[in-house]
Amino acid sequence: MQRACELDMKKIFFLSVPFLLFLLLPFINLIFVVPYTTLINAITKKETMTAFGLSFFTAMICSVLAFLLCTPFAYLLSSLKKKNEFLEILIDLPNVLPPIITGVLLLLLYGRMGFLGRYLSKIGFEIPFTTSAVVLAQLFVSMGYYLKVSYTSFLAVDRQLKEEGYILGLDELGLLFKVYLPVCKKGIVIGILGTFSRALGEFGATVVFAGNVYGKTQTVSLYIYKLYAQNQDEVYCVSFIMIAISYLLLYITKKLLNNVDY
Amino acid sequence: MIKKLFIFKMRCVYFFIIASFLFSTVSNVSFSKDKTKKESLIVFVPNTLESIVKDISKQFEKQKSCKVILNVAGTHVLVTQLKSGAKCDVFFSADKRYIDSLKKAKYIDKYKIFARTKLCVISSSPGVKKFEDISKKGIKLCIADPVSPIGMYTKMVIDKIKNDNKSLYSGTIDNIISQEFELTNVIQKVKVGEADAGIVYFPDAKLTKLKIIDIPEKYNVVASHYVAAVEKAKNPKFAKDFISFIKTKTITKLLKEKGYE
Repeated sequence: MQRACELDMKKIFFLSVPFLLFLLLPFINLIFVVPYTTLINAITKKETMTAFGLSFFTAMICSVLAFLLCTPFAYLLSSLKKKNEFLEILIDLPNVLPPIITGVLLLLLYGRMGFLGRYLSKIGFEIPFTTSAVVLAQLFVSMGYYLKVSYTSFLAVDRQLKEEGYILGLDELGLLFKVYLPVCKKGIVIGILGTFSRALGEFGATVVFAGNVYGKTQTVSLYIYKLYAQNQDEVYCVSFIMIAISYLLLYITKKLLNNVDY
Repeated sequence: MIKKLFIFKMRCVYFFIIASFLFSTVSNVSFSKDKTKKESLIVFVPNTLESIVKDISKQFEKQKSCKVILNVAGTHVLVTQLKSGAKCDVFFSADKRYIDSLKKAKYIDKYKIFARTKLCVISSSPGVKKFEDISKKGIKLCIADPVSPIGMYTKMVIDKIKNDNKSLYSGTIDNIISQEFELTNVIQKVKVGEADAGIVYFPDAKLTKLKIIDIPEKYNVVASHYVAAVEKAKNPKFAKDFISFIKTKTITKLLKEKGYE
């Protein structure tokens, strides 16, 4: 019986080989193409460093904002008696939308001719083509991930804890801060890390909503796009580093995920 | 029994995936061929030349039994595509930089100047009436990144301003809100009103129907567009025909109409 099982697994294994190759080959190929002798030079170039710095800076602000803005909503959603399908779909929407549409939507609203932007620009507050536009674009695209993760971890909290909290005289806000957040801290951290990784790679919405301004809105993705026409070798170097960073982020998330004890 | 059924199902799914994959590649080939089995010519066109080359292709198709397929993008994107192995018979380049890089890499042998034009300012705002207004406080100027040909020509204009008039230069630089990757993005930003003004080629400005403001002669530059037949073209004869067709009188007249010199 065991043997038969192993034999079956072998078949399954062979069936999965094409997928594995499809996933792995581009990365393996890159490893052979990267010009390692110029790697350090390419990374330490001023433009590259600026782009990386800006990407990290904006992605960090974006994750903090996601945490601050989305946590109450995730809590609200998790404590609803009846599941609200509309809201749950809404959370997922930015995830599946083509980022370029997100960019157009944001520009339509916050742009100078936009519904909100018209009034904002009158009081001297202009968002498009600034670093805040980058953050907003990233936030819109990536907050769905954070919401989803925090919502699921809130849902998984034992109802009894909530009741005990009530007995101790905590109101909902107290519950959120003193019970839910400490209990779900790993889930929250995973959500923040995921948001950060997603924000780091954002391109489509940024290029429409924030444009391409060196030092202000030129994130790593935009920088790579610009570089691709001029210096492919450098693109490979930057991509290599970017992949390494993303892998590291996912690795940390995974490690945390394995130790989740809710 | 269940196990067998499962494996059978897996096989079906697997077969289906492979079949659909094969079908998509095969069908791709058969769709791109014309039903009348005419020969096809693949032409790479930068954004700025799209409208003129489209007109030329239509006339060319009438004369020869050949279907012209246009691939339109920024020149810098086209170069990358060609170098990555995309099929191409005739290559248009909006600047010398890129066509030279192709020549150096032996993708083309010789090239010709296709058209010449100048740059101008387009504007959607009443605040921009003359060229110097682009440096006025509060005006938002959108230009292209020097990676694209229009961006390079724009940079040449700005460099000329820098050597001539420092205050005009610093005002202009301060007003730049974004350096877009392609010409079309610049036009877009001005059209939707996110930018008050943008710097583009004159023929494109004519097509946008926006307000056109001339750049003074001392700052303006001549933008030359180039054309070449690609070595190892799939269709060398038609490629040559196409290039000599461009030099005919009707096309020269058409170029004039569109605003080229």
